[in-house]
Parts: sequence; C-alpha cells; structure tokens
Amino acid sequence: MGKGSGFIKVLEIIFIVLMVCIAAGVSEAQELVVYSGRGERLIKPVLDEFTKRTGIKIILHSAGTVELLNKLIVEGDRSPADVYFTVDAGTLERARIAGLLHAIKSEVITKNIPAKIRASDNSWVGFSLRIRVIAYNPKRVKTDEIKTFDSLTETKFKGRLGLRTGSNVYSQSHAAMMIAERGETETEKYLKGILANAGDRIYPSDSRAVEAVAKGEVDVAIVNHYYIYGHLRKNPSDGATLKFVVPQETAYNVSGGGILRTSKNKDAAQRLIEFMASDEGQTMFAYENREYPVNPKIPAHPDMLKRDKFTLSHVPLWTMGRYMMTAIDLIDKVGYR
Amino acid sequence: MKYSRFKDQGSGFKYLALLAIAVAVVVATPIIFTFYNVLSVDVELWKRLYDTRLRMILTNTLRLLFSVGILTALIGVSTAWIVCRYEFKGKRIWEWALILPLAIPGYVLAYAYASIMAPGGVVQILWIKIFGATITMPSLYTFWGVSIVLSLVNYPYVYLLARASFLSQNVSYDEAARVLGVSKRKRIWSINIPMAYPGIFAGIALALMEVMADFGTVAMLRYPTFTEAIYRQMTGRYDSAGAAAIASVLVILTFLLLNLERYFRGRKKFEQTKGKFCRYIPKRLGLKSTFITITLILLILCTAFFAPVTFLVKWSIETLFEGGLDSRFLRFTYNSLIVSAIGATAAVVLAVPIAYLHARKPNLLNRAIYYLSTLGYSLPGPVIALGLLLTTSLLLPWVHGGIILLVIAYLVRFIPVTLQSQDSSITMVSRSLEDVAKTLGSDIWERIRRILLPLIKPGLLTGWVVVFVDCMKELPATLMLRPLAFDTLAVRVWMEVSESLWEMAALPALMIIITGLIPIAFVINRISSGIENDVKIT
Repeated sequence: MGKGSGFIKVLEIIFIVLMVCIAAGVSEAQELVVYSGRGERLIKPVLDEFTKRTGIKIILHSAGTVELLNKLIVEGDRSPADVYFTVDAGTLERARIAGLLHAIKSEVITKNIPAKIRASDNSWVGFSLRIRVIAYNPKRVKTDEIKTFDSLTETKFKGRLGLRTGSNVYSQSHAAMMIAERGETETEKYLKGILANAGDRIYPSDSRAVEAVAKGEVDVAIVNHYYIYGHLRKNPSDGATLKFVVPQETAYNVSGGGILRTSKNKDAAQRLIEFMASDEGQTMFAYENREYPVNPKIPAHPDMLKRDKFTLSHVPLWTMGRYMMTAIDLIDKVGYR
Repeated sequence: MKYSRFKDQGSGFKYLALLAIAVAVVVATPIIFTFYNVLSVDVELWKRLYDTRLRMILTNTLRLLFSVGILTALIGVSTAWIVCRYEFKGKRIWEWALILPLAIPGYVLAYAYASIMAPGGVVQILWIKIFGATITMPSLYTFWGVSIVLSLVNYPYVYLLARASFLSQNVSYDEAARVLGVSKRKRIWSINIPMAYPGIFAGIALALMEVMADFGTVAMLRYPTFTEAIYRQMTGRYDSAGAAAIASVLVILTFLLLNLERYFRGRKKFEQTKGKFCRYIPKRLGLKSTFITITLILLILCTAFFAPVTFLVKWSIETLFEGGLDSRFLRFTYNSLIVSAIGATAAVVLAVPIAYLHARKPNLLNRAIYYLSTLGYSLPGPVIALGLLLTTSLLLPWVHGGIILLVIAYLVRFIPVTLQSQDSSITMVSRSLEDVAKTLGSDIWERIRRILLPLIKPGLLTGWVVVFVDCMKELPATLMLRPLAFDTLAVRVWMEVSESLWEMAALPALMIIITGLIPIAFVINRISSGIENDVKIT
C-alpha cells in the first residue's frame, strides 16, 4: 500500500463523486420530482398509473412528512421538488405559511374537493380522509364509557390507555384541532389527563397501539381508523378483542399535497394534482389504505364504516393547520413525548 | 513522484500539515456551524431548553453512557481475555463469531426485539408459559432495554481492541512477575489489564461515542437522549438554534470524554521496544470450564446476533413469498455499497496525515487538528446534515443534492474511527525505526510510505472495515442528505419501520447485516489464518 497509489485512488474517488453529482443534478424536462411523506406502498401505484396515462415520469423521494418540510426550507429556491405530498394537513399549512407552495387555479379541485379540506388559497389539497377514533377491547370496555375523547381522561382508565408519541404529526394535528375547537387551556387539561392515564404506554406507531389493544396490553387507544382495518385484515381472529368507536364531531385529517412555488413544471404538476383529485385518483389513493375519498360522493371501500355513521369536527383543516405550532409547544409543555 | 522534491523534511511536514488542516476544516465545518448558531441563543431560550429538555436528556445520556460503558467493558474484555489466553473446543469459531454483532446496527436490533417482544410475540408467549400472566414482562422501552441493546451492538469494539492488545502483550513481563511470586490474579490486574489499557479504553471510547451519536435505537425505543432531542427539535419545529444549543452541550460532553480517555492513555503509555517478543501460550481449558465458557459465549451471541437474525430471516422469507422483493432492492443494496465504500476509503486515506502528525509531533496545532477531527463522531447525524446543508447552500450550491455531501457527512462522522485506530497503531510503532530512517536521509513521505504504512496496514484495514460497516448502518445523516430518490438499505429499514411495516423492514435489514458480514469475514479470515499482523508491530 504505497502513498502514490493512495493518491491516485483519491483522485479516482473524487472523479467518481463528481460524475455522480452531475448525474444526480441533471433532470429532464418531462419529469416531476415528488417529495412524499406518504407510504411508498400506497402512493406508488397511483403515481405509476399517472405515468402510464400521461407519459410524465415521476422521481419519487420518500421521507418523513416534517423532514421533507425542513428539507424544502433548507433547499429554498434551489429545491428540485415540484410536488409535495404529506400525510398531514397541518404540515401542508405550515408549508403554505412558509411561502413554499403555489396557489392552484383549477376547476377540478374546487369542484371535487370540499372547501374544508383544502387551503384557503388552494395551495394545498387533501385527497384521502382519515379520522381519529378510539380503539377498544369490547371484552373490557363498554361503548358508552368512551363516547368522547374526554372520557379517556377519567381516572378509571389509568394504566388502560394507549397513545401515539407526542412527536408524531397525528398527535400534533389532533391537539391543534382541539385548540381550534376549545382553546389552549382546555386542550392542556385534556392532554394532561390522557398522559396521566397512559403512563408509559406511548407507542411509536398507531399500528403498535392498535396491536396493544388487540393483545390486551391496553384496553383503549387513540388511533387513526385505518390502522384498525389493517390489523384486522392481517389478524382476522382479533375481531373479538378489537373494535372502535368514532366520537361525535371527531378529529380528522387528510393525506394531501401541493405544488411548490419553485417548481419549473407547474403545468405537469397541476396535471398530477388534478389526477389525484379526480374521482378515480381519489379512489386509488384512498382505497388500498382503507381511507375515505375526500369527496363524500365517491364511495369508500365496502368493508368500511359508512360515511353517514360519523361526523367530522366543524374546524376546517386550514384553521387546524394554523394552530400546529401552538399544539407542538403545548405538547412539549405537558411533557408528552 | 512529486514528493521526492521535498527532501527537506521541514517542508514535508508542512505539506502534511496543510493536508491535515484542510481535512480538519472540512470535517469541523458542521461543528463550527453549530457553535455559530448557538451564538443566537439567548438566556431565555437556554433556560427554557434546560427546563423542558436538557436536564432530563443530560441525566438520561449520562446514565446510558455509564451503563453501556460497564456492560461493553465486561463483555468485551472478558471475551477477549478468554479467547486470547485459553484454548478450548471451537475457539477459532468463537473467536471470530464474537465480532458478528458489529454487523447489526442498534436500530435493527431494537426493531427486531421490539417486534419479537411485542404483545402476542414469541417472547411474550414464552414468558406467560413460564411465569404466568400475573407477572408482567420487563419492557424493552426502558433504560435497561436501551442499555442492553446498545451494549450488545457495541461491545465488539472493546472486544476487538482489547483482543489486539492482549495478543500483542509480551509474556516476559508476566513471567518476570511470576518468578517473583506474584499471584495470578494480581498479575492480571496489575500487568495484563493495565498494559491493555490503550486498547480497552480506545474500545470503550468508541463504544460510548457510538452511544452518544446513536439516533435510531433511542428514537425507536423512545428513550430521550441528546440525539433524539436534537432530532425532535429539528423535525418537529425546525428550531435550528435550539437544536444547535443542545448539540453544543453534546459536543462539550464528548470533548470531556475524549480528554478523559486520552488522560488515562497518556498515563499508561507502553511501547514494547526492547527484548524478544514472546507470545502467550493459551492454556487448555478442562471439560467443565470449556462448557461454561462456551455457554457464556453462546448466550452473548444468541442475544446479540443469532436470535434476532433468525427472526429477520423468517420475516424476510415471508416477505419474499408475498412478493415483496423487486429489482429496486438491488438498487438500494448497490447504493449502500457504493456510498459506503467511497466513504470508508476517503476516511482512511484522509486520516493518515492527521493521525501521523498527532502521534509523532503532538504540538499544539497538531493536537488541535486531531481534536477538531475527532469531535464529529458524537455530532448527531441530523446536526451534521443541517450544518452541511446550510454551509454548502451559502458557499457551494452546486454540490447540493449530490452524493458528495453524503460522503462528507460520513467523513465527519467516521474519520474519528480511523483516527482512533490509526493513532493507537502509530503509537505502537516504535519511533526508533523512523529515527533510523531519518538519519539515513529519508524524507517524511518515504518514511510514511515505506515504514509506517506497511506496519500499520492491519490497523488501516481494520479501520476501513469498521468505517465501511458504519456507513452502511448510518441512518439520520443519510436520511437527510441522500441525493434525490437515492435510497439506501438503512433508509428503507427506517421508512418501513416508521410506517410500521415490520415485516417489510426485515429484508433490507438483513441485507445490511449480510453486507456488513462480508468485510467482517475478511477480518475473520485474517484472524483465523493465524497471520496475526497486529502482534508484529513491536
């Protein structure tokens, strides 16, 4: 191992590195760069269908919803991204407030998407609806004990409640919606109550919380509805220990997206957003994951609870989004990790 | 050959120092950036940070360091001692098998155990069968859960370096003491172990720095430490000032740890320069002791490696049958391999000047360069990533989104690994060899090339292997800096696990382990072929 060959190696490496950099930096015109916080398994089939129909190729960059927001902020004007998809409306609203998004003018969107479920200036749009529900073990809990999220703060649920981590956007946007509904003080009380009952039963994912209910580790848990369907599809025998109730005017959220202000392909990007917003796009987007298409006229998967069996909070998602930072602060303050 | 012009050794040193400074500056950029950001933190924020985060994470991190330090030392030194000083059935196999956990990233072990110990999982069913349903099973999501997981993946650092030290020990000191009637126990504690201090402490320091920089394990097991808090600060609210403030405390903590380690090593400096080198002859163990020894080693290996890997294999096979494998997996694997190879090679080559200057000419400047380059190891991935992104945005926008940023992040993180091993290798090469060469008129480049590099080649190779595996495992910086749609295996594991697709994570996790095993097999080959280069550097 001589010093000379070492230097040559270094030069070789630098050369390779530069080549790769250049290769990575160049992107062709009819390509869309999509930053996506949504599960690849769920979004890829829809994107593939879009490519099949339009011939527009998609470069999919998946990561955490909030991580991508930070990435977009850091990248600023040089961001290669054209479209940003998230699993949370609150984060989309944060992106809008940060001036990252481009307001879309589209009839397809105003026609197909309820106003509650898109930004006030249409700079982001929801595609699939998810609701916050209470998963419970019917052997240990009666439905009339858990009519509202507040009932979970009662002392009888001490040690019986499972929660998702406070650092997760689902918990955060749930809290943000509650702040919009009833103010900070009340929400703080509620958070302290559920925290006291959950103790260390705080799960890093909704599906772990659902699993904990099904296997008897906890009796109740607050989760997104589709994780329950997902668990029961994989473990049909758990039907006896896992059910859910939807509180009246429940917290809700969407998986959605928007076009980035810095995009150089805004026309193609708009075609993608419009495809997602179409009846067919919404169905594809929501179906596999057992979510509801945001347009109530589009039928949901037949296995799911019917749309007329539950109601959503009156708070529009864009209002919820404005309380996102307040919610994060509050979650910190009460020590909800 | 360009360097032949610099026959004058002074200018040789100058160029070497310039190279070292250049590397150190690049490597230190994220740290400098971090401290620059701290300047904007006012007293109010410090107070809030202390109340809401710092107090808890400081205690948590210190407790974790303490427990992992003790556990890794116990496992690493005792196993190293056993395989160096005793002969027993299958020793050749156990000797290399003990390195296997190095191939498993902490977050993969955490994920495997979280999945096995989940409600309804194998462990819980067994537990209920044995202890009944009334006694609750200990949770993995606790201080001890995190400590054990981190110790199991990090003890090989102590094992490898302690083993190298034990093997290079000259039996003559021990014999002299024995002739003088010193008991065996006393000989172990006052000769064998102290003489291995440089290796043992370097190993523990490596393990502890891994712990301080670990993100995946603590994030998955929800144990708030510095990295976890920094990550939350960055991903939740994008508070780079707060994140930098927390990071700065972490950097200071590492600095203390490094100095402590160097202090211990400075006090116990052993160069084996004189006399003939005599190897220890391993003692043959009886049947009963062999049984106990092998049971202990098996216990460690099963918990740290075989049990989790078995489950990963099982889940992988299930995914394969469900059609979870596509050509994309080959690309993820390829991405991981190529970027790790580039990272490891760059780190090993660029560390040589820094380590050499530090070991041979430890003046203020060279020590400063060395320290600066070592700090990155404890700098959490998210902070390195942020520092690099913002500095390059300002200065070198064209590297943005390229693979080079990722490689620099790996350099920042892992140059310290190669530095540690190179520094201790160089320290063990007697100066007199170089002094002789100097009197014969050879310049610094020639001395490095013809004397030092051949002698420390095993150390370099070990360093390369360790960095390669570390790059394969690296998670947070890769997540944040990877070029567009450039997914590595580690990124895949993280994404699948964060979506709770536990089974889907098994295949990429297993691939990280398998690719991690290839270089380990290479080290093992050296160990088992008996050409123990480490012992010849006296």
